[in-house]
Order: sequence, then C-alpha cells, then structure tokens
Amino acid sequence: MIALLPGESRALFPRLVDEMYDLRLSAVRARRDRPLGAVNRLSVVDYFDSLDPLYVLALDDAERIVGALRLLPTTGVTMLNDAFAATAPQRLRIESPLVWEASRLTLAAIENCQAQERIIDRAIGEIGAALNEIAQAAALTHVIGVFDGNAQSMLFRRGCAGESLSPPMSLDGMQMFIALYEVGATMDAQFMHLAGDDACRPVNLAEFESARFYRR
Amino acid sequence: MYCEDVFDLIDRLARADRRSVLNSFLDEFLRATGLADVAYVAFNLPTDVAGRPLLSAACGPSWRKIHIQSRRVDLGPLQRAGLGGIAPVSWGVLDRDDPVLRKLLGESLELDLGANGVSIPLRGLDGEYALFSVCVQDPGSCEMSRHGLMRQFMVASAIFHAMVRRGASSALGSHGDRLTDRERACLRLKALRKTDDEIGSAIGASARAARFWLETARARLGGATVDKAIEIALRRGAIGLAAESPDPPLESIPLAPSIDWRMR
Repeated sequence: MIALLPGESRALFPRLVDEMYDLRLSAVRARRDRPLGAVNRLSVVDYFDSLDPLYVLALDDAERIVGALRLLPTTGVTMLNDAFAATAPQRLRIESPLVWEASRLTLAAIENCQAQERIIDRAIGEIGAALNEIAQAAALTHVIGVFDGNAQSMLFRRGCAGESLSPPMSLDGMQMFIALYEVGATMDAQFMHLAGDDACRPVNLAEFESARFYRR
Repeated sequence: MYCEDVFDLIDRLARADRRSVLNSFLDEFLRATGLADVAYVAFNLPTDVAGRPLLSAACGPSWRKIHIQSRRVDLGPLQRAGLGGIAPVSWGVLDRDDPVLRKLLGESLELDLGANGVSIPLRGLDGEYALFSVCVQDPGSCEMSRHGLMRQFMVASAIFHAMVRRGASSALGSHGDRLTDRERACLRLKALRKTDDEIGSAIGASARAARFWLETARARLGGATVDKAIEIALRRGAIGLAAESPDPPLESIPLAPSIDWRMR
C-alpha cells in the first residue's frame, strides 16, 4: 500500500513520521560507513524535511513502513541545488516548475533475507509507480532522484536506477547519485513490473487528496 | 496570544503599505496569456526593503471586487488547501460541504467565474510560498487536454512568480539565468530542427536527457515553450545557429520573460 503524507500534515500522523525516521536511522546504521556514535535521530532529519515536502510511503500488509521517499519542487530549495551547491559539477542547478526532486529514498534493510526481498521489490515498484502517477497529475516532465549509494544500488540491481545526470557527488562523506526519470509510460512500466500483479494501484489525484487526511 | 495582540495586528495590517506593483504585473500577465480569472498570493516574498511583507496578493478584477466587497482578510479555502502542499489542487476534489468553500464557489458562480479551476502551490528560492489560482470556466470545451492545460498553468504560474520576484526586488532573479553548456547545446540543436534522439546522441546522452535539458533551458530563460526559449536565446545571443557561442555576460541579459501564448 502507498500512503502519501504531505509534510504540512505530519503532526497528524506521528506514527508514520516516527517510523519513517526510524527507517532512515536503521538504513544509515546498516551501512556502517560512519561511526555509530555519530548516528542518531537528529542526523537523519535534515533541513529539507522542514520545507513541508510530500512523502511517498510504502507500507507492508501490517501497515509498517518498508520504503519512503521525499519530494520537493525544484523551483524552491532542494538538496541538489543547495546541499550540493559547493560540490556540484559546474552549474548543475536544476530549476523548473515541471521537474521535482526525489530524495531520501530509504528501504527496509532486509535484503539478505530471500523471503523478504519480494517486499523490497514491491516497495520500490509501488513507490516508483506512485511517483510517476503523482508527477503525471502535476503535469511534470521529469523527476530527478538524489540517492545515496545504498538506494542507488538497490535500484540498479532492479533495472530502475534512471539515467545518470552527473558523476557521483559527495555529501557528509557519502557518495550521492543523481538520476533522471522521464515521467510517462516508460517510467510506469519500469516500476510496475516490480510491483507485481497484486500490487496496489498507485494513488490517483482524487485518492491523493483524500490521503492528505489519512489518519490511523 | 493576547486579545490586544490580535487587535494590534489588525491595526498594523490596516496601516500597512499597499503597493500596486502586483496588480500591474497581473494585468500585464493577463493581457499576455489571454487568461481571465487569476489570483495570486505569496508569503515571505523577498524585497529590497528591510523586512519582508506579511502577505502579497493579486487578483483578477472580478476576484478583486469580491474581496473588496467582503472586506475579506481571511484567506479562502483554496489558498488554505494549497499553500501548504506542493502538488496542484484541482478544485473538483475539494470538499464542497465546507461552508466557506460553498460560499466562495457560490460567489464565483454569481460572478460568472465558474466553479472549476486549479490552484498551483509555488516554492521560491528564498523560502517564499505562493499560490497561483486559475478559474477554468468550461474545462470540457477546452481544445487542450487536461494534462496539457495543467502543464501550461504550471509554467505560467512559475513565470508569473518570477516576474513578481523581480519586481519586488531588483537584486533577485533566478540563481542562474545563464544557460549551462548542455542546455545551450540542446537548444542550439533544437533550433537546427534536430530530433530529440539526434540531440541526445550529440551530447552523449539519451533522448529523454535531451528533453530534460531543453526543459531546464526553457525554465531558465522564462519562455512559455521550448520554441519561445529558442527565440529568447537567439535574441540574447546565448546561442548561435552557425556555431556554439559563449554565454553573454549576465548584465546583457534582459530579465523580462516571454509569454505570448494564448489560452482560455
């Protein structure tokens, strides 16, 4: 199941928000590429979360979050344009009302378990398909993904890593990848095959509106 | 908050400066686009003067009349629904049982504005929030698809917001009005009537990347379409058809956007 959580409504959904940050935390800890002492809840909530982004959350059958993604329009403040301002390749600054940025793709770190891998496939598929549908409803042309190495590798293994827009960039000692997705049928097919036949259909605009008031 | 604070705020609002700059922009914009009923509201808009205005708003003549007649300080439900989010809000999905919305739509119908439209949230580079709303009198009669119409509104709203930003503060603009090398290459090849596949091959990427760089170039130049962006780039000397030319200095780039498509 896919739930869309507008940032301005986060106070209404404390369980979902807590779970999403916990998921980020466990993903960072699982990477073990930084001292554990440096990783806490504060380190996985960044400035961009305060900008009321739109969160796309993949929930399993028990309604626990198994995947999450954050969306921001590139006309405003974004990770690519602001967090990477000092390190981005020359003038890689994207500002368009028809392009949004997807960042903080986080997936439950349960890939080593064969039985659970299907859950991750489905989460990636449903998040991607929902992303495409939201983007179509907003008449966007493209979505840029700003993903860490872990998320990028999960997407790459499943053939949906998008098209690389630049060499990897460094942020807080992590390699970050910039991926381009074109909104439309190709993107939908790319993700829907992962979501499988039994997948929930991604939300349409009307459902999206009602999801604004989704309450547990 | 103490009651005195509320009355003090109302008093300060009543004494606040009112500037005609937004409405003059809107009039110019309506003339250029052929749109009839548009409203725009912005919070935290950066300006040249110290301290940002609490609220900046502009409405088409009919909506202006409603607000003046109602002496309305409160924002309408559309603004409330749209300002916090990032996705466009189609009025059709709003809760029409909401008495405030019913009243607003009733007024809208009385003034022959129609009860259909879309509100597009805008996020700015300096932390400002805005909402651009357009009435669509009869969406069924429009030749363009809903998707195409929405895309035009998205582009129009961003161009209008850029105009307002530039009008509010001469020091502001986009963080980069100059084209990148890839954008310039794509625009130039597009001007030479190359296909997206050919442009992609020429820049060592795919057709989808070519379309992406064309879109970012369009947005950077403030053109309503890629063709308009090409015209602007040629006029400014940012691209040349004979050979790739270097970017002109920023000072020589005129800031006025080009909006000359018509839509109703």
